[in-house]
Amino acid sequence: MKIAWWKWLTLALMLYVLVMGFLGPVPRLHILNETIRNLYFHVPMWFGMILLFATSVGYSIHYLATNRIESDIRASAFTQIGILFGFLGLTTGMLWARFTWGEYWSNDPKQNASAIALMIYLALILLRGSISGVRERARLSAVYSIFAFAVLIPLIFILPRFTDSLHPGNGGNPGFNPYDQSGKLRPVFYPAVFGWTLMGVWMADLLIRVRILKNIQTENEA
Amino acid sequence: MKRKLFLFSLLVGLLAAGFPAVAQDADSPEMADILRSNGKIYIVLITVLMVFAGIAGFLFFLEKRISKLEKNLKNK
Repeated sequence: MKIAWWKWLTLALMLYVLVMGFLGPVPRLHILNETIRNLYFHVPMWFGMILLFATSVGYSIHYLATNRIESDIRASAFTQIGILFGFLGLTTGMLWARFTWGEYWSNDPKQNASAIALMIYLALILLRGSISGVRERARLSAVYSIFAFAVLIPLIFILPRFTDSLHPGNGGNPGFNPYDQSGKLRPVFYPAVFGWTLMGVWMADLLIRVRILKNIQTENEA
Repeated sequence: MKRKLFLFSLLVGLLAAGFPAVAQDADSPEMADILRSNGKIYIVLITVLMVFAGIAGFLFFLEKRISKLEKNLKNK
């Protein structure tokens, strides 16, 4: 069985992240304690989501430019896996918040904004499901996906920074740098972002291949 | 396949060996040192790795199935 090289890379990165995520050294911080390790599992969900949605935008633009239905299949698969990552980010974030900020949901600007962003993307799934014409569905969801991404960026990266937020890096604070003065987190965090994102790409890849096969099958039957 | 697995475990081992040991202070915040001194954190780690092995195994199963279908459709 031949498997793409980057899938082996995904497995290597994930094994490294899981082992070092539990056993590696982390800074000793009050309140956070060992939950700082969530940085390797919760935050990569959001980074992964953004990267998967960005990929989806790329394929959406490609669809609009070329009208190739395969690009629509790719764009929608990346959107769906992105939404999965977003929901995992939201639920893991709620659990982490319960034991550090005190509440599952504190109406933190970033919590609210990411919930809204996910709603916008869920509407894309609804939109796709409600259109039966293949070409029409592909065109509309490509346009919607570009629009949704354009809304997502200010919602998650810009608006929360104008107000006070519990999340690090908001209300004028820098990112996780003050938590990582000894540089212990970065050697695991960056591979974690890369590894989890590749996991998402792998899942999307399987989804895409099944749908392309289905597409060929229906074309053969017609 | 076996060579790949070997290189892969070598890579993981090398990366893991590059980390310095944890320093300890008397009045530092509470961490899960007891769990680790008992060695029981490794149980959790092994559990996670087993779950991940299951997920990875499933991904490979899907790879195999889909590759087969792709081959069949291309030959038609």
